[in-house]
Amino acid sequence: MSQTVTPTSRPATPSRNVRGHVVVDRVTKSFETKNASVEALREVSIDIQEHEFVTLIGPSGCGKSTLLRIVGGLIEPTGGRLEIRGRSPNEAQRTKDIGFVFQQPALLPWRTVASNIELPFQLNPGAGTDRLCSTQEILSLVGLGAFENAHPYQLSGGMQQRVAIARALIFDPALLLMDEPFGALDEITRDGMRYELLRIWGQSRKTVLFVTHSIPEAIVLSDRVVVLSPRPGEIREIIEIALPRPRNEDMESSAEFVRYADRLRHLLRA
Amino acid sequence: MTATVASRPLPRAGLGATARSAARGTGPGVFGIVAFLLGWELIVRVTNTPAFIVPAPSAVAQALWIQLPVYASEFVYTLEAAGAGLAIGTAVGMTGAVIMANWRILERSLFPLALILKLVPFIAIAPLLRIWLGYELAPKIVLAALITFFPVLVNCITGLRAADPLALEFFRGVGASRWETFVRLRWMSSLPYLFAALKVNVNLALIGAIVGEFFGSNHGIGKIIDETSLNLDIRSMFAAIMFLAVTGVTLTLLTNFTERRVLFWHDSVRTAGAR
Repeated sequence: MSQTVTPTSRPATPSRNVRGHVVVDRVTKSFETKNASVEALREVSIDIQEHEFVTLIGPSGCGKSTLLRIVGGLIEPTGGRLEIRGRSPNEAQRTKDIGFVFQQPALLPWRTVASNIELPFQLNPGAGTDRLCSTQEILSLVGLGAFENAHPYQLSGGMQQRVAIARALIFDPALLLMDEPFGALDEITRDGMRYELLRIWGQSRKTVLFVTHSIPEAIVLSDRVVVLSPRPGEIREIIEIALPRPRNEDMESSAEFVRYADRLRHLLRA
Repeated sequence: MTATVASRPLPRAGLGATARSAARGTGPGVFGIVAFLLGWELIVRVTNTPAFIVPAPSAVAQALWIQLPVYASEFVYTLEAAGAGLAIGTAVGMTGAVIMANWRILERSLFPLALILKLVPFIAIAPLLRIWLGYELAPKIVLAALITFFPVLVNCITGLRAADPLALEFFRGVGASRWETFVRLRWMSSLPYLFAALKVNVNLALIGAIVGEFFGSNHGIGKIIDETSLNLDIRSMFAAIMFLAVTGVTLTLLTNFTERRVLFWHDSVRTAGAR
């Protein structure tokens, strides 16, 4: 399906009345502590279209990671409804329709790079997983062609995170959930990884839900940016990023980019 | 960015590097041991201490050289008991850990029992085991198993729960079964903890076997030590102790070597050379 959609034929603004890939409908979440109940998310609703890149941005502790984990079926919501192509997140897990990338690479240190990328095929093999491409091809795609036999400890943090991205892409899940994947990287590596990710995404066009607290990162990557308020997390506003694709670093100094940045900064401060 | 990193050679420590760093590390240690033996020899000779109180190292070495075939064959018996006990203790500890790590209710009912078993000084059980199991291998094996199972149990429970929480989430996210998660993640993550227990247990198993021999045995290095003490043959006794010191060091080195091979990916092994 993703092959039929080329960057040019794809509408800049996804139509809202089509039922989305991911439907988040009035989702709430509260955590029970010893003597109190902490409300993390309040009535959050988002529709994410097929092939759309959506970013969740908000201050620390606003529940954006929690929301991502609820979408991925790793946490149960307290209230509300969730659908991934009309099914529950746990059903989507069982058929391997979700790929995860976390803040840390979470690779298995005793396995080589290639063997880490192959891991999803050894887990839940009954799910009859498709393969995006060969391991060697995906390694080239993430720029690690020469490292298939290296172990994670021999790689830098940025390289490990690329392996994690490759591991999430190899089994061709329709939905990619990324929880601050560049959060633990230094600023220089991080800037480069944004465009790396866009390049990779440009080839597979997965639906992506991406959590970040970096304003430039959100603008560079997204079709839409969802701004969450501090706890309890509520949607403050959803901003469409109308910058043309493919995007490049020059755009970061354009007047339009700066306007988006100002707008987001204002919303996050309010 | 990739290009600069790719041109850097991979820092995988080869065998040569390991040997070199080991040589640098053991030099002062060997010097210390030699100095100690020389000092001991000197004091014995200068003070003219009789051999039935403290024999000189040279005399001990001489006795050891003569007795070596006997000690070696007796030690095989001790090693058999220690090895079998260690194997049983490890198997029981690991099985218990898998059960307790998976079912909290079983952990809460079984762990106190295991703890009590561990807290009874195992020497106190030795005479009982002699009555029940006689003078052959069995009581020594049981003693070695009794002291080795607990470190395995505790470390293995900790290890099975030490899996990277994000890796666990990844496993869940692709619908991995409980069994797949156990084999491919939890078990592998517990190996460093298992090795930590094994390193302690190699020594403990020998202690168990030797104590078992003290309490009645027809064979074993423990029996030799017991006999020499009855005969006041201090020189042979020292020789047996020296033999145990050498074998103890050998077994520990062997375990450490195996650990480095198996856990090459773990921080504890990779930073050991840089210490």
